[in-house]
Amino acid sequence: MAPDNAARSWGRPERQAHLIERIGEAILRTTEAFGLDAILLFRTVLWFRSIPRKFGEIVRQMSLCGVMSFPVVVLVSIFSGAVLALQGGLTLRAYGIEARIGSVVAASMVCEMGPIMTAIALAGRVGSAMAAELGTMRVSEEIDALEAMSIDPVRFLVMPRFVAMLVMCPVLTAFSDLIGIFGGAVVGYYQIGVSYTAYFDNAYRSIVLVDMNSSMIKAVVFGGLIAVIGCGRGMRAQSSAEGVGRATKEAVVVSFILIIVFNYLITSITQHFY
Amino acid sequence: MIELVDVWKAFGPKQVLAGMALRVERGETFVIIGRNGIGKTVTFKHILGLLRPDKGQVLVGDQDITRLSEAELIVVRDKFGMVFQGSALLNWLSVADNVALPLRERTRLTRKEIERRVAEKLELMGLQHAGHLYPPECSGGMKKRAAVARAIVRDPEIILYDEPTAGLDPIMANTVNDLIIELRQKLQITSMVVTHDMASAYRIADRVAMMSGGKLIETGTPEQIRNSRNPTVRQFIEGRSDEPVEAGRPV
Repeated sequence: MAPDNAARSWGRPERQAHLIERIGEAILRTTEAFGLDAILLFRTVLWFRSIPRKFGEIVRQMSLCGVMSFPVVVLVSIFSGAVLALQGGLTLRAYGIEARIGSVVAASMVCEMGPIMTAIALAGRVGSAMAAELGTMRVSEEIDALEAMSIDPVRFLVMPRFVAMLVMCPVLTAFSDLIGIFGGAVVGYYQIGVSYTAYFDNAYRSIVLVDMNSSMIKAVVFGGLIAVIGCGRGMRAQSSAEGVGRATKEAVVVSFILIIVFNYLITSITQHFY
Repeated sequence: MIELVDVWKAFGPKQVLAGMALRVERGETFVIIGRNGIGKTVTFKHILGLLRPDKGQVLVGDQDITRLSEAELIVVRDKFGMVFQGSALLNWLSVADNVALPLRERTRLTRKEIERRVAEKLELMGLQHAGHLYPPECSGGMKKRAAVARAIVRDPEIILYDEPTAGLDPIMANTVNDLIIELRQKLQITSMVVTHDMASAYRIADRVAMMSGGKLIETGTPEQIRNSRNPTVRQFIEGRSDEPVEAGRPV
């Protein structure tokens, strides 16, 4: 079609109506999905009273979500700290204050990089696994079987995963902060030429309680988000292999977006209050 | 007693149940036959209260369960056991733990009592030596028997079987059929079975009903169904594909 014709075609009222209809449908679908996620979150929190009875399953999930994710978090954190030290060190060297690199890495890791990189690693590894596992259970009628046995799938499947993530995400974030700072120290020593004493001295002095609080608040929120989005998309997966694939992809993409958005919101709020 | 009165259910534009009506008496084995996607499993989900009809009544005993709250439905569901087509065992639990699941989650029995009941049901199903195995380590027949053990572990009044012989070899299918007959004789359980397997239907049923177009089009004893003159029923039971297929057509 010639460009003029194409432009005329888009200008037709029926095309415009079709486009508006599709945008409206997408908005409705997205709103409905977030509404269902919010309801799932509410129902999950209501089942917190069953934590003592589901303690064994929670510990199992903590191992699957947290302990098994530790190597990934270590790798991501080392290189996050390393790149912060390298980039920051080269910039600071231009001003002759490269010894302050410890402050830059520690503050960046604790405030932003630690929680975000841990959450992104967990969303990719754990959130997708939750969506795939619960989606497969939906396809193979295991969730229907639980409902038929009067066992609430939210209590049985979602709550233990949610609680495990609430606990393990902050733990892994704390490790991530520390490992990132150590990664930065190694790069600072070998590539920038900053002694370990100067690095850690600056790092220690730059970390304040407010930053650590903010880091832990972010970690708890991100952990909960990843679990609710992963479980919610999985439980609502359509009964086909394609449906499970779509649920898994959605869980990862939506988690990534929400992590970035909530990171900004939490930083804004904590800055405001402190 | 289970009764469906003029039940209608649509999913989007697809009308799955259209005036579905049936009545199953206490202690009876009622078999529903029909083509794939015709709404047999949807019927079961209505009976369990997992789906609510757009219109009509679902009676369990004297209670219309379409009017019950979720909390009240849980009490009604406790009367049922259900065996799913793919067995629907949880892969991360052993066979024994799968069977114990409804007792652990829905009763306050002691660990010892749960172990006793699980051992009893596993033995009834011939799985006394398979309790420690995990579902992926089990054959299709073992999984099916484990699913039946899980369905009967709380001594339900009614068991719903969704395609109990699907995917099983003829010998294993007969074993499952024997199991259903034995359960009715031993425990006086009311059974509803959904199947495509006509040999199985004739063997286990007190009554057989053919489902088509969102409702039952013929109900009778196995002998009456075998001699039916209804062309849709005849085509299904003879498995003929040489004439236009009416059943299974979107309504």
